[in-house]
Amino acid sequence: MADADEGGVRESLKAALWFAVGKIVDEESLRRNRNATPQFIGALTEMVWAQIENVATDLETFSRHAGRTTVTTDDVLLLARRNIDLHAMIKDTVDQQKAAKVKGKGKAKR
Amino acid sequence: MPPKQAKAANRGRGAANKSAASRTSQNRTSSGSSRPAATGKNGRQAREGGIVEIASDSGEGDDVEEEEEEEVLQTDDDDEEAEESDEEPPKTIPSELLKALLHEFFEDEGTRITRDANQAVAKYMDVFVREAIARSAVERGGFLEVEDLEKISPQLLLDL
Repeated sequence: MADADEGGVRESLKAALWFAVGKIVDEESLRRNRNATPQFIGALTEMVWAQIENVATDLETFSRHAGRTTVTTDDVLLLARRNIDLHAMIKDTVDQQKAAKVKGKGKAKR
Repeated sequence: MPPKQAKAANRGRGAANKSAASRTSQNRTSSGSSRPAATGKNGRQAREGGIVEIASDSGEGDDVEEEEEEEVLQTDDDDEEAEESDEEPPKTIPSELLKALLHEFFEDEGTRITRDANQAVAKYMDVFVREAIARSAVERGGFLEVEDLEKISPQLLLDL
């Protein structure tokens, strides 16, 4: 019973992921004047699914190693440690978020 | 234009990620005007086909969610008809969905994730998806197929 429920949740999560990946594929293939087969979207979804699984366990392990139970941006940056450019891109988004936060707080205080 | 960029993307990590970034920004400026309507319809039909299959495979509880997604699709179409009135943000994996997925895969129930970290992972996965498409697009012309993905996936997984 519990197993069946678990499977149901995963099924709908995968459906949602499929949909999201499909939208990105559509956007990219329009720009390149190419078309993607539905099987391509399905296979890519499976890949993304597996990657998220790896990422989730990595993040959990990193945060535990740092003595935390909450995953922070530092853990995500560690995830991209082997690819300098990817690291830079993620650092960019993290810094933007931080800047936005400081700005928001400043406005709230005034 | 796309093939050249795509080739650059396939050589070396540095070029790959930088050009991915520049492409994303290019898309913002050119997304409205450069959309061929015909291919758009084809792509959408294909995708809807995929979703329908999923819906019929899974249990009844999923129906609600599928309907919600259909609604999202509808509004998207409306937006495209009112093109260029306001810039559409590039589509990404929704951070709420990613949060649910991450929590699904965490081994410990007690593990939590900050919102910033969640957004950072969303960025990571967005790069992952677009990089996969970009590298697949280098392989031959015509349709993007599973075989293209099979060719590029080993190196992609090592690079990201």
